[in-house]
Amino acid sequence: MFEHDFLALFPEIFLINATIILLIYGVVFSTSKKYDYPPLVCNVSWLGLLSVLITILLLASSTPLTVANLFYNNLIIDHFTYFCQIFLLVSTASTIVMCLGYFKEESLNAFESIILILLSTCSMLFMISAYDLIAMYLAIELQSLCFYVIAASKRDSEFSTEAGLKYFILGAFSSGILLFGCSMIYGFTGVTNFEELAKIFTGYEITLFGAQSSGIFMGILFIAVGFLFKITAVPFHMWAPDVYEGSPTLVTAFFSIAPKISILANMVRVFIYSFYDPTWQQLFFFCSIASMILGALAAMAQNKVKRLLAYSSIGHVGYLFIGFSCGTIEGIQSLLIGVFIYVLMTINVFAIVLALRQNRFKYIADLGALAKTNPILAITLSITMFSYAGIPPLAGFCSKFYLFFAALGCGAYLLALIGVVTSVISCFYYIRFVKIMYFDTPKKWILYKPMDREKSLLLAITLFLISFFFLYPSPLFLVSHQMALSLCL
Amino acid sequence: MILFSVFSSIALVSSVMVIRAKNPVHSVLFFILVFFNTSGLLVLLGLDFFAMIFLVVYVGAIAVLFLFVVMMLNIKIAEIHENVLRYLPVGGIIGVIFLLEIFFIVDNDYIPILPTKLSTTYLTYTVYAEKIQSWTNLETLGNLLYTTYFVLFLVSSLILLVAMIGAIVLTMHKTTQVKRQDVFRQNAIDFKNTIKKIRDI
Repeated sequence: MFEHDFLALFPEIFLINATIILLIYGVVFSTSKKYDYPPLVCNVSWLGLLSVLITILLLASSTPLTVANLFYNNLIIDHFTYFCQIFLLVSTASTIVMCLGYFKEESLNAFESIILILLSTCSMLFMISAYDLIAMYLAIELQSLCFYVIAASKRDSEFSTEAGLKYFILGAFSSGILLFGCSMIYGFTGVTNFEELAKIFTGYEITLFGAQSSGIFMGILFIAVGFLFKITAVPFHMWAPDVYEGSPTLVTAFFSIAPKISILANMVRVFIYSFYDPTWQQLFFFCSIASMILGALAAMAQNKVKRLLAYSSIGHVGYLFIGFSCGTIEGIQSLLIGVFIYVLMTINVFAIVLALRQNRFKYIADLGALAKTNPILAITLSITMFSYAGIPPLAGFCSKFYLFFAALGCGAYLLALIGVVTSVISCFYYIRFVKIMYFDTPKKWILYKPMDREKSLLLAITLFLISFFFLYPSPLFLVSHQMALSLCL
Repeated sequence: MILFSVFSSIALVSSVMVIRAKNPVHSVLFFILVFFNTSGLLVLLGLDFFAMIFLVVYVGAIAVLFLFVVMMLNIKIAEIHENVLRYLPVGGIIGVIFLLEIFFIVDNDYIPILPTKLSTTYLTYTVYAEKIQSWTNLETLGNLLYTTYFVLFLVSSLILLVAMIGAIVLTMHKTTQVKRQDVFRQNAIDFKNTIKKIRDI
């Protein structure tokens, strides 16, 4: 019945099997007295990195099917999911590369967090290719369960425990809201499949006061609220700064990189493909504007690095929602470009945050006089910050440019205007980094340890891409155009 | 019909006992009894899967959790000497509203209140509905879940795996500071040899 489907799903099957084998390896050997209870975290993270890379190879090279509905329409693969999954796996691999030195420095012997990262990567692969409300909900739930555990994984820190508990309670709440929305949709339409939902909603006017359709409207609203919770858009962002600050830095990096890709891919699939309708557009307009404003204003008062990065990611979610709420092909294309560049910059910043460690790089003021002590790193960080702020000709400028251009193209002038204004405001705190590094002379000079080789390679690659993206952007444009087309046609 | 009245009357009586019992543990036990009777009612309605889920989720998980909480909090046998009539107006209003809602639902034509009787003496026809091989809810669910939708089943098994890993990761201490008791050695110790006099005073 499903013999061809297994061929198409081969990378996911490989990744799950590799994860479970790694889990068994870790459990068996870390408790063996014969080998004197070895710390396995380094082995497991290298092996996990290897299995993610092999999954990328499997996905990129040898899939015999490119466009198909799998497993009784529960999953779908097409060009959109193909590129999204490759991108997701690459960003996961770079997160694991970042954390190779982290466990050693922190003397944290928890190979389980690598296992959980791999499991959540599997769930995100499923989430990208989900084509049914049930499959979508299960994938989201698997991902969030992994996240609750790794947010609380540093057990001797109160902040981490608090972050895990807070994330767990609010995440369970948002999952409940999402599930309620799904069941409303199912109750009022009788189908859960995205394709059938798309057929039902074609030309079906969803109004708030329509007698027969208010349930559908409520369902869409609840699903949207659940998603906005997960992606930390503004009215539902309260948990994000606390969780991002409290959890270990490696986990914060993972939280702000990988789930943004998968959840945005799934949202695009649900809202642009299935529920294509102007009703939810206003909701996302509002969320986009509010996220941009709050991300710009609230980050100014922050002194801690991780909190500032959390607010900056909220602001960037607002910018990405510009492309989302346009609902046009150009909007989706600019959204995909924006996600790509956002992930590049975030990988770069978190690699720097993880690399700068004397005791711990916690406050922004700790960066003082980094230009004297470590000039190359200071230049890297300042280029990334300029790119975050959107200074031309760096990559961040390109992404913001295309997002605003898409907003102008569909007539949403207010969005573009507020986007420009807030990105000017947010320049203040991005450039504050540069000012502290180059012009402040601190009372106590902090010398940081040299970083390890893997992180420096990662920094070099991402910095190269950020600074020279403008010279040859056409491959990304072609890819994102194909993704948007395969979604919308 | 007898079973229905037995189940519903025990459910009603024990639900009254839930709020009237003085000992909170008894109250939770009556709560479990309510769930047992309601799942019996669900079986009578033909909703076998729901009855099972009711037992597994409510009794197996939630009521046992309540029981644990009640036992851990170590509440003394509560002094319920308060005037019950104090709560009567609010509770009565909520109860009346609830009853009205149920009547609104029952009043709709989803459930025929009176059984319709067709005289079938002078017509001979085939009731195709009886010829259809009908499956119970459980059979249908099993057939779908293990064949067509097995992906979802596998993903849910992964969720359970993550829950297990998470519980172990977050609670098990592998550090050397935790002093564990070696039960075997502890039992094998002879207490006459544990305290020794080393030298004479």
